[in-house]
Amino acid sequence: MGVERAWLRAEAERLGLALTDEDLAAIGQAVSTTRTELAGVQPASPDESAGTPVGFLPISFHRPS
Amino acid sequence: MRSPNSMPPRDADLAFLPLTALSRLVEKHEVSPVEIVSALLPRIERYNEDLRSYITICGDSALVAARAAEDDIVHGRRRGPLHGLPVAHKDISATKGVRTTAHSRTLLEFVPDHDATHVRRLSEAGMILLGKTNTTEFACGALDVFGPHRNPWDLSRYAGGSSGGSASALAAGLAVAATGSDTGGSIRVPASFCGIVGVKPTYGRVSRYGVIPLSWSMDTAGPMARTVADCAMLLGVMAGHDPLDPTSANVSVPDYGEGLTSGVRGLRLGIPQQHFFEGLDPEVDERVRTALGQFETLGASLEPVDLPRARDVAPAQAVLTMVEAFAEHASRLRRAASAYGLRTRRRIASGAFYTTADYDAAVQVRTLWRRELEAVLRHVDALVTPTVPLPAFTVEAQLAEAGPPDTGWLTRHFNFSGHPALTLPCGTTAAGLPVGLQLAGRPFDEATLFRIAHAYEQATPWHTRRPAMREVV
Repeated sequence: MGVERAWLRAEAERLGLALTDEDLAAIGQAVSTTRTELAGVQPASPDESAGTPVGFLPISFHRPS
Repeated sequence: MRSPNSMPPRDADLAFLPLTALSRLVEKHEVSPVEIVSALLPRIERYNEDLRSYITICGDSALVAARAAEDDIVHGRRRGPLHGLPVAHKDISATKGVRTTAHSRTLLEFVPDHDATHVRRLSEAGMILLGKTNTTEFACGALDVFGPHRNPWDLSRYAGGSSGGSASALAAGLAVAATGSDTGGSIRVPASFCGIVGVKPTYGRVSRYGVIPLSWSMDTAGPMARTVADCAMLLGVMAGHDPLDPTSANVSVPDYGEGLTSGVRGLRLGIPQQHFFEGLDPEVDERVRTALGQFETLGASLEPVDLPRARDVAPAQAVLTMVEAFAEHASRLRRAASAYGLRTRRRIASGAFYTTADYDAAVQVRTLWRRELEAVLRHVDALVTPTVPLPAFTVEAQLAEAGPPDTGWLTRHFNFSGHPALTLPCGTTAAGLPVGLQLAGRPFDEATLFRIAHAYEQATPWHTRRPAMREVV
């Protein structure tokens, strides 16, 4: 789940973001930690899958009956 | 304007009266809008340097507007219960002709040519803009430009973020009504830290037009005040469909005053058995459990409910927030990354480095969490939890390089799902710091939350307490 510093640097350059090495180190740490935590909470089996991610839609699109 | 035989309230009393009480006094011509604004401005002048509640103070224009409102009211042109009452808006909501900085160097000269919709609605109801309140930069980061908003209960403590300026102004008697925005707890956390009431409405209930975005799928504007009835009165005006906001819900807005005093007898309150009561500060735990007992005394039933997915929310909500924040800020970050505060820059830029797979995984977690929450809320009328796991910490802890404690640990769940939630005070620690109680409910059913909160509030003294501050002479 670690994030390569070289990839971060290349990606920042591609996006035109003027980030310092210290910025990239902090960002890499945060992204890595969050990604590891997220992997730990994924559905454990296909039966637990959420299927279509309707959660993408804001709740206001689901009108109360 | 005053009736000949009535005694004038002292300025400090006016500054701490509930909005509903002020409204009645204005209606009866016993207090004028000019008196209310004139009671608040010297307090702001006296205390704002220490508290940093306000970024911009609109003293002169507020007095002009108060005189105009007084003239209208005296001549029978009162628009409604909020006419002539002052309001402070978080400095992330656009205010026409008044600079809107979002506490950012990148917006120091930004003077909008429009009002945010909720600002406009409160203005059309006759409210007077008192000033723009402090926030963390873009509601998510640094406090470099105007300094940290401090807590009136202990000036060494942080008021909470990001709508902390509104919360500290209300607690200190520098405002009688305010607004905030909430993406992961930014209304409820500072309201809890400062001992006031704060409401995160259902996603789509209040237009976000004119609110500088952080996360389009979770940002919510809402009212902040010192009582539940005050928040209910404000939300009734702020809420409603707005064609200028494509995520605004076309759902009717009830009269939140109706049913406010119906009590809680017969209501079922869900007490989560996972996450929400884990790892709490002992004093927070004790105050909240005492509040649960109070609800039973008032006639509600407490029902344990299972919400195991609550533990999964934090990383998924973080991914969505940062990805959406980066999408919003990408062009400005490219132009002026160094103008952002360090913490803001790093947090928002982190959103560029998550993958589409990360985003999709986060959305899947949102679906599962919302499904679980909806199932529980079919069987109980609301959930009751602590608002923040700990009381207000020091300003130094907030500014520490390692970052502050995670204050959104119990609040972000309802941004993630879109459900409404509010906080109200439920006690104080031995050190005198407020503790907040969170209620969360069904979509578009803020009325039930107001009813439950009002019943608790009226049975307890917490909303009547004031921080010990030297009064303006």
